[in-house]
Amino acid sequence: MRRVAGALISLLLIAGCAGPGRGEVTVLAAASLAEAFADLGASFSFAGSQQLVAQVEAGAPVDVVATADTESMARLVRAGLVDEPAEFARNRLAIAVEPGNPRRIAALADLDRDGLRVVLADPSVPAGRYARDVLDRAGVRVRPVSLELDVKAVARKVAAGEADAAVVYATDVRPPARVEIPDPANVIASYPVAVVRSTANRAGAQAFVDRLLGPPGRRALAERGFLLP
Amino acid sequence: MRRVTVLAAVAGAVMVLPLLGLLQRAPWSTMATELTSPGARDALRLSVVCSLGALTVALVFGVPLAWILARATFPGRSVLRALVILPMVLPPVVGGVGLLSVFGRRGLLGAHIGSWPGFPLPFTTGGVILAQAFVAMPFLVIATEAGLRQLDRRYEEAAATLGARPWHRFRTVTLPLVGPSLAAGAALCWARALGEFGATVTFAGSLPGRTRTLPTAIYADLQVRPEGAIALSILLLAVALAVLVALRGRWLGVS
Amino acid sequence: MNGALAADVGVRLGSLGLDVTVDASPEEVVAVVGPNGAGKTTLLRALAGLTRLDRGRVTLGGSVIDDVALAVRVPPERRPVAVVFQGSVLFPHLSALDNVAYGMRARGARRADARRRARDWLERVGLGAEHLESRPAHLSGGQAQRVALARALATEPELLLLDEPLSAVDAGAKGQLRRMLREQLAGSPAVRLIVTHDPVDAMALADRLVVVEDGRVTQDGTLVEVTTRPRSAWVAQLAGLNLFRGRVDDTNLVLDGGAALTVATDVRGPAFALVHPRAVTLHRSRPEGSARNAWSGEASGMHLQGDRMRVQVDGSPPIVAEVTPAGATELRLAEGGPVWVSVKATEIDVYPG
Repeated sequence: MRRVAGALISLLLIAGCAGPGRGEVTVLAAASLAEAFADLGASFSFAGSQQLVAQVEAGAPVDVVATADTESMARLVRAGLVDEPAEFARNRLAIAVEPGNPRRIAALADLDRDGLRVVLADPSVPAGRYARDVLDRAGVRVRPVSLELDVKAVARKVAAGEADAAVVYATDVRPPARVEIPDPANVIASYPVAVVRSTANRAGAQAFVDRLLGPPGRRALAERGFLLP
Repeated sequence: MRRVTVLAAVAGAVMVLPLLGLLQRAPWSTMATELTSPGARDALRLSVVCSLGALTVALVFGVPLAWILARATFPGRSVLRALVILPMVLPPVVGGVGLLSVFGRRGLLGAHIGSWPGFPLPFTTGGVILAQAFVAMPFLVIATEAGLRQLDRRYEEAAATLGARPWHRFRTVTLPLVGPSLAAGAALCWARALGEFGATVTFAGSLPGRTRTLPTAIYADLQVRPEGAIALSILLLAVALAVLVALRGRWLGVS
Repeated sequence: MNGALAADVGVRLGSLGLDVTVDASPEEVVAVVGPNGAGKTTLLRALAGLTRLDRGRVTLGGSVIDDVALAVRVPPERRPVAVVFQGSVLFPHLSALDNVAYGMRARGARRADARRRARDWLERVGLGAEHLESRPAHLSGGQAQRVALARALATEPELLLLDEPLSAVDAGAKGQLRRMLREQLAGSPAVRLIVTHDPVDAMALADRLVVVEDGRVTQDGTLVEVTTRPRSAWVAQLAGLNLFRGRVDDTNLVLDGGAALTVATDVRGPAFALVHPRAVTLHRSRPEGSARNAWSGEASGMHLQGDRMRVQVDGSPPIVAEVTPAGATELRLAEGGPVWVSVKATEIDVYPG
């Protein structure tokens, strides 16, 4: 009996310790940053901004957090969970269409066509909120077939051919599957990054943030289509 | 005996404590408004309708499948059984991706049947039912197959000698006698369908009123409005608990 | 013959090869007897259509219900055959009444009609009214068998098969049940076949025995024929005792064949009488002495069993006596001629039948 208990406890400890080795930095980042951050030398975990906030609030043992909107970060700042955030990238929205644009979508106004299957992100996600803003300001009434819970899922649905069009970040879709939204009608999303107060590796965390704000980060982001501050 | 009690108590605690935690965090003062909001009402209605629909699909297709697995002998039967169990083992999202590859607009079947009435399935309530049936049906099939295997064949033989044709025998002897196993399987199947999230969201999407069931609504609410999410979670728990408690004893064969 | 069964059955089940021919008419009750594992139940299942024939042909009342060569096979639900299973196999989820009504309902009878007729049948087999709505789990072995019999009879079959009808019944209830079974079987117009390994049941219920051993028929004939002329070890064992059937009036047991024995018993009415061959003494002239039962007959057969001589004496009634070889020599039995039999009334074991 004691042996069984001992084995169970060891298992739990091992599982709990299954994290990065010493010296590695753990970064929580918004889903849309997945490709851009890939080579930046840290251990990453990507999710929707709301989930990131929840995890930090719940005390996840991470060192840095990078969200896709300033509202989410503001919550963390108010709760005293992070240091002073800095803007490291900006993003615009764009319309994602099927490769080859078979439905001939040229502008936001085309999205309210009858029978068109349009997918948006849910307003609980920053991308979803931005999309609503953009569409409302352009006076376009879209009847989406789905309000997905994370923007990557939105992009995937169009790429797979399940949906005809979607409004996503410009970084989520490459031309020729991308239809631009002119700047005046568009929204600029601001991406802040901050060191998590409870980090066990402050030096490493700060080093990552510096890398992100410096040439290596800027290059990686620009390559993916992000705008730089 | 004490060891058994201690282990059982730990198991019970692991099951019950998270539920108690939820209850403790619940926004009791605003619960009524949370639960009567249109979003909550839609999600509840969809969850109930779709889980029952999934159960129906599972019964119609799963019981014959259980029959074949229990009674017929053919090469590859154990392979078929393994395939049937697969959705239980697969991450639900993978299940959803699989369903898309078949029923999606560019899918194996979906590309051809897209113009049939009622199709295409992604982004529709029917799609939710399909996704839920896919992950939940194995529970029904396995439980029913076990029940059929344990059934003494002599009852069916006796019925035959008394003049009952195959369908009549099945209806009047086999089904009632396999009833408890079938009911247990149906209860598990329904409960699984009710709580299904990954396959549903991947295959059918998430639109309030059409495809946003309670689990999806909870996920959407979770960080933006945690109180809403918790209220919906408690609603989901209450519905499941009410049905399972009502099914105790008589149907599941335990007192 | 009208309504008769003509069965030529060949079945291979694992290591058992069954190869028998059985003919039976509605005029007589046939018992298929033999040691366990001989294939009796397989034969019954083949006749009911529950086990496939590998070879052979079965006709009932002139209609073919099974013919391997012609690839004709009537499924069990369409055969006019009813089975009383060993252990009754009543539907556990139905009451006694609904069990009996099942066959009628399966053939399209309306619920009320079927239940009414079921009630009649259950009364006939002697199930108390208080048990009509009981589930099988609440019935004793004997009660369950009554219900099983009623259930089978209610379908008015042309062939009634009973598999070890008294095996699941405890000893105390057997006598009563045997009596009821005899009555009901006597009243049924069907061809009736009972499978049993219990010789007492066979003798009590049947007119003719078909002995099956190792998948073959080794003897087929009336009770008396089979037991007085054994042709195999099992039957010889069967024949080891003298078993008579009759009615007891006061101190007389009047046998079915007409003869009477003086007996000492409290039993009245239909009864069995058991006489061990050793209790039968043989004489060359009418015996004097206290034995009240004495009659003459012809010694028709002798065989050595162990170190004793078994002597068949044809008379009224025929009986088997057991004497020492020396005694047989002394009586000069081998020469034939009349021989007197005497049996003390106290040596006749009478019990209700």
